Amino acid sequence: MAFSRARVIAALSVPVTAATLLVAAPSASAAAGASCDASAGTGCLRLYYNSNRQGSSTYFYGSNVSNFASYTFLTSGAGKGVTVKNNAASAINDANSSTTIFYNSNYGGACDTLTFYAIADQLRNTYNNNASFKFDTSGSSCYKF
Amino acid sequence: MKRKSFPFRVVAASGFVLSIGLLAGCSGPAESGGNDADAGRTNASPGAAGSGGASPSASEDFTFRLPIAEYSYTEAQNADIGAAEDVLTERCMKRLGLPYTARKAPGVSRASDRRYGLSSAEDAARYGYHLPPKASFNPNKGLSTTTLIALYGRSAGIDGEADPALDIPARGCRGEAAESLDADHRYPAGAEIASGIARRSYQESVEDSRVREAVRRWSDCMTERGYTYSDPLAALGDERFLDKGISKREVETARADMECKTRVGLLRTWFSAETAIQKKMIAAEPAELAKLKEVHTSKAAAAREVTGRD
Repeated sequence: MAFSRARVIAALSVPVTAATLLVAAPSASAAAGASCDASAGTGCLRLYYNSNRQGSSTYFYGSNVSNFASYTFLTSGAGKGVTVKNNAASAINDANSSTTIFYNSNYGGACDTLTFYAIADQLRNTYNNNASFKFDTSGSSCYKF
Repeated sequence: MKRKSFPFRVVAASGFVLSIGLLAGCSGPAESGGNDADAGRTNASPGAAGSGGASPSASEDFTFRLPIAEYSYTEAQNADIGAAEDVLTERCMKRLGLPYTARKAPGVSRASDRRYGLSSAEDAARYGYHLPPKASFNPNKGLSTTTLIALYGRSAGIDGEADPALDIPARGCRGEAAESLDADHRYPAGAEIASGIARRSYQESVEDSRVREAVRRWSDCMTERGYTYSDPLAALGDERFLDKGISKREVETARADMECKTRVGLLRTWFSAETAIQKKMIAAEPAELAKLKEVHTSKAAAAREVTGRD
């Protein structure tokens, strides 16, 4: 949360219950898993718990995620079971389109766009503050450098 | 130590921390009154709307009117590059002996800007805090397993297998297309600088005394109407509004959000402060940013050569 540390702490202190399971997000078709499914047509954004694509990770594909709070890191490694929200340190965009990670929930605030197959060994704008993401379309309101 | 401390915060109850804004370079107008909803239009870049023409979603664009936007790929450049990648993908698929025609996503207008939270009164009234709906589009619908694996590579999680004799690129034909176009037109260090400016300017803007004061007044305005939020990003991220449906309360909150932003001139104040901050940051890295822009121009030109456009 851009302004309120209290909110961040509140979000983080929620006990992680289904540590190794995918917890379904409210939105209908959001999908995540321990491996990619490129047939979804969005490609796959893989977020890692640690920098340099280390530690536990989760793939996202199929639709946007307005709030990472419902998701945990799934593969074995450091951070497994921890909520993805505000905890992703690196990423690879295996998508056939750009992917934008936002600093705040619901696609708000500063953001980082990862272009085709881009690797972010340390998420620049969103390091440990990633809160939502969107598979890019021509309508994305984020810079591409 | 994984977690960094959050570099900025506005404590909602901190009361009058009214420091006089000696923050360098902030030359924006005093912000009381005024029509904040017009803020996105008043300094419009060429092509942006006046009072009439363009779509509402374009007229509240702050992100792409900030100074650093000059160093981002433009929508037109992105379209050129996307079209070239489609052509290169089709060539690659042909080489593999697989018939394939790239499918274009239906065009969509840019969603209204959310850098400073909600920015469109019209969207607030129609969608609350939700993004405007758009038709789902899966470019891969109905494609065969072999075609999908050829497009994305053997390790892309496609169920099934493709003929082992097929010489499929590691990241598939889409990956090969993107990489080949990118190969001679990359400047990651410059992109890092530009991206860093876009991040730091946002963080500094949040600390700007005028922004903090406007945020405090916005928060007070919301409280008067029965909504308790420390800042506009907290309202945008309210978990009650992230579900699929749009509730009446959500729409009412979003409308109050925009009315309070207009009343206290929040969007205009924030945009003005961040503009001044970015100008200083950009002035410190002129050569790198100029080179980045050149690289973008040359990649888009290479893309147009592939497609035969222009």
